[in-house]
Amino acid sequence: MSYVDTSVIVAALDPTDPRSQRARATLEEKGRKIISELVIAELTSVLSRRSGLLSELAGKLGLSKELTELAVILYLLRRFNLEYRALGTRTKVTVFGRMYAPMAVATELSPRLRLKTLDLLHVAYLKLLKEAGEPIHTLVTADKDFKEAEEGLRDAVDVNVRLIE
Amino acid sequence: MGSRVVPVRLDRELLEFVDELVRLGVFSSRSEALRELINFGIEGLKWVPEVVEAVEKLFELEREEGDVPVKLEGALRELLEERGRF
Repeated sequence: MSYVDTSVIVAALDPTDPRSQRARATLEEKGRKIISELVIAELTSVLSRRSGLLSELAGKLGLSKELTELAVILYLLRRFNLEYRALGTRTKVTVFGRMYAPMAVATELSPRLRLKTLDLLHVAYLKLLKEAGEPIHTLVTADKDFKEAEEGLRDAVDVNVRLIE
Repeated sequence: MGSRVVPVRLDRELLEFVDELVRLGVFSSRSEALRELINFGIEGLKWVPEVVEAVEKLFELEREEGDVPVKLEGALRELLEERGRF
């Protein structure tokens, strides 16, 4: 089972990027592919700034731009068989007090991985999904920062990194 | 429209809040409270069938156009640059 980073989905939809075909082929491979709420949030952020595309699709679908954005995300999840897994409202006790679990785990992992914030949060989601019983063994990404941190990721969360180049 | 009795399992905390609303006189009974709160929740989700129908239309568009009808030119570079800022 793989955890799919937002960058792979965006790459598959970006015909100007040389990784596009490889990203598409990766998403179309068989096998379970999991995403987190962070992937959905990043995708909505990317889409929300594609006003022309949203207007065009909204016209074709007869929907508002806001609902079109949600429909596009749902379509993409189904199109590429991406399974969204929720973490619920889990919190953890930290030295700072109670924290939403992904933030707490990101804070814990930060000194070991030294990743940028969003990358770190993806790893925190991945770790929590694994703890919730999802047998994730690979992080699929088009973000080379994960590859550079692969040794630490193997050590901290026991996953391999598959970089789409 | 007839009504039916439906067994529902609720968290203790949720039920305590419902009972509090009944005690405060907002609703006359647990049954009325739950009925009204479900109606309220459904109102907020009335758009869901439209979105699900639109997903089917997007699959039709893909069949017509022969490709995924969502093109995000330049989006990967932007996404990776944004991540680089944090």
